[in-house]
Parts: sequence; structure tokens; C-alpha cells
Amino acid sequence: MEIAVKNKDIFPEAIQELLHALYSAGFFEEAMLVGSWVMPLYQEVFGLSYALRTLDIDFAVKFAYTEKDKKADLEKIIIDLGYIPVLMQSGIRKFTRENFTVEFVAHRKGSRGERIVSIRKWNITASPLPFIDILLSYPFTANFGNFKLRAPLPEAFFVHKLITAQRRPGESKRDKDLEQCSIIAYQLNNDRLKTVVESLKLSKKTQKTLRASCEVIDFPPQRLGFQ
Amino acid sequence: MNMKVVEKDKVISGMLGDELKRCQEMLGSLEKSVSELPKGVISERIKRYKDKEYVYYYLKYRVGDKVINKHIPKKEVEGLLKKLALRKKYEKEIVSYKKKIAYLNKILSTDKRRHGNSSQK
Repeated sequence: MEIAVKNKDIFPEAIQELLHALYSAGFFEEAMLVGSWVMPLYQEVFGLSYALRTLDIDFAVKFAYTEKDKKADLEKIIIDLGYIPVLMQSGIRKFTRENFTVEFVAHRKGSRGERIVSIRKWNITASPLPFIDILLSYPFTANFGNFKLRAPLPEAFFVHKLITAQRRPGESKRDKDLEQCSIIAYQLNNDRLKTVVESLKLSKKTQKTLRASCEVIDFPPQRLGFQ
Repeated sequence: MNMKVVEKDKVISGMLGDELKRCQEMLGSLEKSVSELPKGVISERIKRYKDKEYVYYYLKYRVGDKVINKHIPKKEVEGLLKKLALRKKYEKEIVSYKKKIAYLNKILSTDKRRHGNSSQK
């Protein structure tokens, strides 16, 4: 699904520049913008109004242990844009420029294991997090004319947030996740929502998590296919 | 499918708190990175001996009250200049994070005071 974006200035110039550089490197062929910076995109494309966002720009990237082909040196590309690399205490490498922080996340299979994965083909490190594959499996492309950007469909973003909100260690992050869900809930496409939920093999624990989140935002769990 | 105003206020202050934490973590990591980089400026000294001129490079930096002039071999100058430039970038970013932290602390303390007063009423 590709959607032409009419308003080209939904992102600040610094972020546009970054997105353009990542697109030119072919990064969005297999990665996507996630986190609170998808909200301006949702506002423009799907009419979902949500003004709050943090200054960290997150990208979800596919990760495989058997990576052979080197794609592009993202570290160099990002540094060339004026960002500086910072090794965090966790061992993850982030990039920062004027308070903006660029970081990467990847899908984590199973229980907690590695704290960092090295994505050699892009020369970056990513934090492995559960359920990122929900986002990566349901993308849409936003066409800005001079660059294209991939982001998760709102239905995937919604389901992902419903699940992860309850797993957040901090109350504030959970509240933020659920508030975003409560906004997105107004514009969800029922067919796409059903497709996303049906594709998931949800454990009883995760189903319980989904129901708990639905209750907080007053969203009928029947729309997720639950009885 | 909507959140109450009180909850929205909680979300905003929670988000500001998270932002403060993120900035503090980043500042800590930036300060660690900068501590591993050399500081000072490179100066050049020309010495004449017989009919020839010799250029020597020194890294001038301060340790407490003392000014140190450390000789740098010519082959190491380029690499050192790059590191000094990188240090400047880190220092600039550190200043920017310190300002942001001060700003967030101010907002959050005002927010706490406001909530404290309203709960007393």
C-alpha cells in the first residue's frame, strides 16, 4: 500500500534530511519508522490527530543471524549528517544531534536473551524487543515525492501498542502507549485489524494483556475477534 | 475510546519525565565518551637551526592550574586534530543536553508544585 503525502513538511527539516538519507541507502526496503514519530504521518495520511512526540527517532529493522550481503554503512551516513555516535551504558550505539536521538530496534524471538544485536549489513546495533514483527509485517509506504518512507499500518501499530503497553516497566510509558491507542482506535479499518490479529499466534497471557489494554481505553475486544 | 483530561495531564508529565530520563542517560554517555577524547589545542613552533627550519607540534591543555605543552609527532597530528574536532562536537551536544535537562527539571518542578497546591485545596 503506497500513499502519496500531500503535505511534505510534516517532519522537521533535520528529520526529513535523515529520512531522505536512509531512503537513498535503501534502508526502507526492509526497515521502517516506528515510535512516536509515526504519529505526524498518521495525522497526515489517516487523519489521526496526536501532537505529543519525543525526540528519539526509532527505526525497526529486520534481523537475521545469517546476514551475508552488506547493504550500506548507516553509521557513516548518519555521522555525515552531523550526528555523533554515543555508546550507551547498555552497549547499544545511538546517534544524537541537537537533542534528537536515532536508535534502532529489531524483533526479539522468545524470552529475554541478548541485550543488543549487531546488524552488520547496515553497520548498526539494535535493541531486540518482542512483537516488533507485528509492525514489520504490516507496512505501508508514504511517498513524499523526493523520498519514500515505510511505517507500520495503524492497525498493526495499535495491536502492538495494546500488547506492549502492559509489559512496560514504567507507568508513564504505558499511559502514553494507551493514549496513542485511544486516538488510533477511531480510525481503524476493521478488515485490516482482523487480518493483523488473525495472523498472530497469541498465547493466553498475551490475549489477557490485549483484553486489559482494551478495557483501559474502552475498546470492544470483539473488534479484535475476541468473545 | 477517550482519555479523561486528568489522565492526559498525567500522560504529558509522564512523557516529560521519560524525556528527562532519556536526556540524563544520554548526557552520562556523552560525558563518558568525551572523557576518552583528548582536550586542548594544537600549536606549532618553528625552530631554526643553522639554515634550516624545523616545525614542532604541541598539544596545549590545562590540568588544574597548570598548562601542559605535550610534543606531538608530526604523523600523529592529523589523527589528533580529528579527535579534538570530535570532542568539540561532543561538548556542544553536552551543552545542548544540559540546557534541555534544566528546562525539563523546571517544567516538572512547576508541575509538581501546581499539583501539590491543587491537592491541598
